[in-house]
Amino acid sequence: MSFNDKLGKFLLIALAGFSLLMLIVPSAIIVAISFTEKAYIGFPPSGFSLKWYSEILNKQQLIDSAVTSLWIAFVTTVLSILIGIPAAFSLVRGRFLGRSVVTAFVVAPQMLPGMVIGIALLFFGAYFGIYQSNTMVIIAMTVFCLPFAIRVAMARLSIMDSTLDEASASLGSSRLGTFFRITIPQMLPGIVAGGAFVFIEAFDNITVALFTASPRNRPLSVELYNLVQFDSSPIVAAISSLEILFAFLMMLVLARSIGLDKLRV
Amino acid sequence: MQLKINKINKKFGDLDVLVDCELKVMDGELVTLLGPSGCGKTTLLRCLAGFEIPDSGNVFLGNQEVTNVPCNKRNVGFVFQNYALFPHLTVAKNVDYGLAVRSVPSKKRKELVDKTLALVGLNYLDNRYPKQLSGGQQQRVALARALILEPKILLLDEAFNALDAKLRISMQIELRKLVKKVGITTICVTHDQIEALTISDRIAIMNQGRIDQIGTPSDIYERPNTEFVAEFLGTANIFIRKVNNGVVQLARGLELSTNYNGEVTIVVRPEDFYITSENCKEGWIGTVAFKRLLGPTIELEIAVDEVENLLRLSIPRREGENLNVGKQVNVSLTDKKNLVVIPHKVEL
Repeated sequence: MSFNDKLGKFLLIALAGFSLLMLIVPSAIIVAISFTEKAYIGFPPSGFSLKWYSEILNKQQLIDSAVTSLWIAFVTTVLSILIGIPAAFSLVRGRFLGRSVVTAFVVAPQMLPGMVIGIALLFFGAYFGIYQSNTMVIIAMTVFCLPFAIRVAMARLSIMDSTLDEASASLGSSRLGTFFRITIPQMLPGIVAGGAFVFIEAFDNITVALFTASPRNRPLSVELYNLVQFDSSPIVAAISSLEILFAFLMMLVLARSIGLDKLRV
Repeated sequence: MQLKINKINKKFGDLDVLVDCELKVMDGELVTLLGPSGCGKTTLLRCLAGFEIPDSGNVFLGNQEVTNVPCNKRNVGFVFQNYALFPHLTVAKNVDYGLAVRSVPSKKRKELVDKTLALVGLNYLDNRYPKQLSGGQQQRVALARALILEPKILLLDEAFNALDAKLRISMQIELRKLVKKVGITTICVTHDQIEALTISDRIAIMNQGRIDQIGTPSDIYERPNTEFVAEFLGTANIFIRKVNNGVVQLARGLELSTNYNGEVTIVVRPEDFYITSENCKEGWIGTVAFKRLLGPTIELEIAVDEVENLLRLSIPRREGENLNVGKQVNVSLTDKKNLVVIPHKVEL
């Protein structure tokens, strides 16, 4: 093994170790705090209790906001898939003038901070009479998340063999029939993976939601943000732990059903 | 079903891909489009399938013109170079695909799938997925998938490329037997002359978007129309000679009469030479420059002191056993009648 190989390996391990540390340690601290007996956030936690988890059930406002977030995430995911697949299809398979420009444009929101999109849509919506509401969040979140769905679908499409479409046509299938019988089933891992990314992002994103959500019907992320500002109850840690569990389970199901290697963007 | 192509032209940008291609294929005939890569053979096949629409000219299937009929309405079977099996469907579902599209009743579909898989000898693999099959098996699935619809014609695009050498030959023989059994009109595209010779009733040699010559394998081998055809199918020794008063001199003591004027190309196949005795008064004198054994025959390159430099010979193995590199030999022709004389065309 040459010196460069050794150095490369050392850097890789160091970087991986550092990332793991920065990702896992804060999460682990949150989870640990959620089991505390004390009434304030503090580390290390003292004692063991599940009272903060049961406390969540007593706070109707938290449950409502969780339901709101799930609804927003669900609708955003459906919209992103419905818009994202045809968009990805035309960007990968289509031959039209300015395709690369359109590709750059469609993927651009990913480069804009969510805050910018949130504020922009706040004013833009007001111009058309749409004010802070779930609809507003869903619109903004879809704009924000669509690039994820398109990128994953495009990646999947570009490795798909286009002679399959010709084979299908030579066997008598129409364009549309081929799309549903061949293209969609082939894209399924990409659709599921893209959908999962969008769902998780739409569920816990705050920068977009902060500016577009109605004050009376707040998504969970905004609700938590407010909670942390005025209260240091470990209930926040309990909710965060549940979110970590939720995301973890989702990735586990994905990895089991379509394979981790297909989740690359 | 009979196939007729009438003066097809196709351009990609400024490039003439097909120029005035004409071809008539009888019902049940197997014709191969043979040519080097870029000669337009695949484009011509795609015009027959409906994947490409020619700029001008007509395609007839039977008595019906199909030039502008889209591929999904033509009922033409197509086997792709990489087979293009649907990876998310089992073998049976792949074969069933065309029937499912046509909404054939499921009981009949099951019967037909079983029958067609049996035809290609794969009924025991119906529940496998394409990636679990070998190359030869995948090709059979592709064939079954096309044949189950009883297409008007069957088209194969370099369908043997992905197979290793031994399997390729046996699949080629198998394909020929199969399409003859089914009785379907078949067009194959290949750049492999052995494949063309193995499977074809007739071969169409393509060069730069044109069909240079159409004929049975022996027609084309024995009587090539052009220098290109002569060199593309088999090995050819090419001699370019001037005609003097209807007579051409090929070599010392070897003269031919011809009706052509100006310059002619004389084609000599390697097996039409033979090694003669030292005191022979006609032919060539040279030294063995290269020798290799090809099973039943020996291939020799003889360096001669003439314009051509090298003669390429193929002789029976036993006759060449002691002809080693460096040995001086006399070479003559077995029969002047075997020679092919064509007018010499200067390639632009």
